[in-house]
Amino acid sequence: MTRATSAIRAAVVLLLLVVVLAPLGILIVTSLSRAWFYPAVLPAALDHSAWSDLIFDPAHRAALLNSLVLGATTAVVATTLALPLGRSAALSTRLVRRSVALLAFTAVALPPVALGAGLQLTVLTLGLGGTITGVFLSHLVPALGYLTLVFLGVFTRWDLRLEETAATLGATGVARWRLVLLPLLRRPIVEALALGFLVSWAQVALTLLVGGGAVRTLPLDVLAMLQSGQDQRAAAGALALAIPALVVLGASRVAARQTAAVVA
Amino acid sequence: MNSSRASGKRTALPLLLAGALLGVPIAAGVGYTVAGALGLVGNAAPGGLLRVLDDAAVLRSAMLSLWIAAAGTGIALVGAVSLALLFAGHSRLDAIARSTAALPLPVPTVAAAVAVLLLLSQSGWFSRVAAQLHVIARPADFPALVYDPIAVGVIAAVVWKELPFLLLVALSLQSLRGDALTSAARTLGASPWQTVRLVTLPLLMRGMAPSIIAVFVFVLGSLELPLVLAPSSPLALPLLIQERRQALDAASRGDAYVIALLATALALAAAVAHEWLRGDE
Repeated sequence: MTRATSAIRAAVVLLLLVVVLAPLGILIVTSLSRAWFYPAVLPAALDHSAWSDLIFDPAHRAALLNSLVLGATTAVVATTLALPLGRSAALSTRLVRRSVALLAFTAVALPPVALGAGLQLTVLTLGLGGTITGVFLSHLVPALGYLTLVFLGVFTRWDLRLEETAATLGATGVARWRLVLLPLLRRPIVEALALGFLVSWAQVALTLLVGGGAVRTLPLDVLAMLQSGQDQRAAAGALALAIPALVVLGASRVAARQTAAVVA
Repeated sequence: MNSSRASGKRTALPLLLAGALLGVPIAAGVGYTVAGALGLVGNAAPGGLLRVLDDAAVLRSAMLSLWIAAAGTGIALVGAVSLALLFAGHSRLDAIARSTAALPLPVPTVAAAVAVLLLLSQSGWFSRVAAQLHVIARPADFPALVYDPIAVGVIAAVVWKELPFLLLVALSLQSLRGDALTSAARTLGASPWQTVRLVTLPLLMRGMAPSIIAVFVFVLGSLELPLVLAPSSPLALPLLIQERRQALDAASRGDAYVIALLATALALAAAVAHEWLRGDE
């Protein structure tokens, strides 16, 4: 590698650090700012009132809790349903595999505003309009799409010989799942739970349409605060949205490394 | 007999599961949108396809949304491929570059939009820096980078959010492919640039095509980015659908379902193209 190439690479990394970290930095500073008037580059004083409001204000806390409950429930239910679906499709014929993949990608690709318009009427017909259950059902659709694609990918490359060997050695269906499949699937399951959580955690359009404004979540609160000019609170809310997402990504990477070590 | 029964079960089970879990909600969603377009549900009058296609506001909205999706995906793609080619090695710098670039991946779109607004608006941080440097005298002197007609702010947020995904796909393709083909090209006398242009890039583009379509469709349908950063005239397509659905006259509400159906048709075409390009991985 020439000296010029090394210099270019170092400069690109520096630029990358600035571009990636600047948006996160501005959220941190704004969320802690007080009396930050134009054209000051830094706030005159710092305070944590936006963060206190986020946690202690009953309305914001309810929105945060709704987001957490929706994210966790969507993650668990979508993973539980997508795993057998992805596995059965991957072990089936090519046509079935591709049909299921097409359906799963459609669930992901449909514009939320278009899908949500239809789902809103469906949920209203079921008597679940404006309820957290209705919003959960709507979040489940794209989450199932993403996770079916994940498990389809996992099981398309799956080596069946381990299960067959376990069966030959007398392992029952339950024992094969408990002793062979689940330990090997720990990494994809953790990643699927993380992805399922994030799909619901970041959802705006479906919550807005199906919840009809009655179900408050953190992303909707952030948009409302931004539109009412509460930049400090909106920044705190945006960071509160980003932090669990970054933690979930980090945790799934750690879990993946641990699983790799266990499997090795 | 047993073998054909097992084979039938292997085919029927995934189809039944997929039909119940994915097909039913999609069909219900699309079905109700069709019914809305026909004025049967949703308190709407029948929407007119020709009226919608002839509506200049719809055309301008579609053009803005297509521009945002194309420019955002294109810039993210160029950035991702460049980074993948520059930092595919095993040094510490390569690892730092890859980890840094991947950081925005899980950040929710709303958070990215708020951050871009705080940085790029006319009273945002870059404007403050320009004012401190006496480049501008007041916020209005700073170029409009959000709510602007060419949607610079939205495109910046798209690139920040989507580049990491495309980078991970490019890196994964490079690692799966290995360096046998590039080594062969170099052995046959190709220069490093020729190897990149004639071997690496075509292979990467072919492998990345489904992901590029996925990003394009995702950006096209995104509500939150234009809601925070895009101009109010013309409205991005998802916002136009929302606006017409909430209109007072029933005809506009019917038209909203027709526009939603057109967006759905575009997404379905993209889904088919995605599966066709993806092959049987």
